[in-house]
Amino acid sequence: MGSKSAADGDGQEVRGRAADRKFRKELSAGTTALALLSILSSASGPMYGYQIAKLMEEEEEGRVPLIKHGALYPVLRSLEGNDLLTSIVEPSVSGPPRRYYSITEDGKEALERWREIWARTCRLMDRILGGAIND
Amino acid sequence: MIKLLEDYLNAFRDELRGADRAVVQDALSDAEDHLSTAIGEELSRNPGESEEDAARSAIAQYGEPSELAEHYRKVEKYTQPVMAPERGPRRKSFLGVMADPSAWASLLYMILSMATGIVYFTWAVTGVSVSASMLVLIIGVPLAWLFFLSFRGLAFVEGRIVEALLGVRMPRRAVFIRKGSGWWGSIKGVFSTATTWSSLVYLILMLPLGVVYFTVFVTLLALSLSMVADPVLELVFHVPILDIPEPWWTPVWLMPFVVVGGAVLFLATMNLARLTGKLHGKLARKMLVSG
Repeated sequence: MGSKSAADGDGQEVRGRAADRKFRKELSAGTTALALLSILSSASGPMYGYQIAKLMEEEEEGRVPLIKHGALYPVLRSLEGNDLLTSIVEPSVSGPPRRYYSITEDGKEALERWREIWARTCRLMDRILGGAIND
Repeated sequence: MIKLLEDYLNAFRDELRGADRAVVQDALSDAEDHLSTAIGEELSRNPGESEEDAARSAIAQYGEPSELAEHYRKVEKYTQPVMAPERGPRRKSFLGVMADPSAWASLLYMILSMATGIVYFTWAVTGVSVSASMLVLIIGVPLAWLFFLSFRGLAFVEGRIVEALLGVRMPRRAVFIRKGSGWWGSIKGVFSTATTWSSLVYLILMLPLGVVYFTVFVTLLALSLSMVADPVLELVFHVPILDIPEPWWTPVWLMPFVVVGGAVLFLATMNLARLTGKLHGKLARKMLVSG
C-alpha cells in the first residue's frame, strides 16, 4: 500500500515535470524572436549565435534556461528570411567561421510594434494572475 | 571528432528524419557550428577542463534532439523560400500562368541557365583535369581538395539561385566542414561525402541542360512573340514573317489566326517554363542537398 502511493507520487512528479517543460517550451516559442530582436537592437555591434546564447544564459542567473541554445538558430534564420536581421560570415581564430547578425531598419520597426504587443500581454496576464479580473 | 558530439548529431539527425532535406542540412550545420564554437570557447576559458566535459556541458545547453527537431519543424513553416510567391490561391490554370510569378521566375532561370551552365562546366572540368594530372605530384592532393571545396561553394550558390527563382527550399547554410580532425581528416571528409560528387555531376550536367533550356525557350519566345506581332511587322514595317527561302507574306484573312496561335503558343511556353522549373528544382534538391 505504502509503495503504491510512493509510486503514484513519483508518477505525479514526472507528469508535473513534463507539463512544466511543455509550458516553458510553449512560452519560449513566442518570445524568442522578440528577445533576439531586442538584444540585437541594443547591442553595440553585430553578434554571433553563441554570444547571444551566452548573454541570455547570464540573464537567467543559474536558473533552468527558458530558451535552449539550439532553439535560437531557426528563429535567427527566420528573422533573417523576413528581412528583420542581416548577417555576414567572418573567419575566427579559434574555431569555425562565425555568422554575425545585426538588426535592420525593418527589424527595429517590428521590435517597436512587438514591444507594444508584449506590454499589453503583460498587463493582461498580470491582471489575470493577480485576480483583478474576478474582483 | 569527440564521440559524444558524434552521438548527439546522429541522434539529432534521427529525430529530424522525415523533415525537409534542406532543413536537416541547415539544422545539423547549426548544431555542429555552435557546438564546436562552444567547446572551443569553454576550453579557452578553462584550459584544465577535458574536451569531453566541455562537449557534455555544451550539448546539455544546446537542447534535447527531439525538442529541437520539433522546434525546427515549427519555425520552418514561417520561413518561406526567398522570393517565393506569397501564399495564396495558386494560379494553376492554363491562362492564369501569366499572373503566376513562379512561371516568370522559372523562365528567367531557363534563360540564365546557359550562362551559369558554361561557368560551372568550365570550372568543374578545369578543376577535375588539373587535379587529376597533378595527382602524381605532391601538390596534387591539396590542389584537388581546393578544387573540390570550390565545387561545393559553387553548388551552394546554385542552390541559392534555384531557391530564389524556382521557389524550392534549398540549404541556407553550407555543409559544415569539421575542424580538429587534422588536415588529412578534412581532405578525406570532402572526398568521402556523396554530395560533393553529386554536386560535381550537377555542375557538369548544367552545360547541356542550360543549352537545351536556353535554346528551347528563346526559340519558343521568339516564335510566339513574332506571331503575335505579325500584323504590325508585315503591314507597318513591311517585314515578312518567313524569309526562307524567299519572303512569304501572310494573307490578311490568316492574320487573326496567326495572332491567336502566337498568343496560345506564348501561354504554352509559360506553362512549359513553370513545369520545367518544377522538375529542375527537384533535380537540384536531389543532387545538391545532403541527405
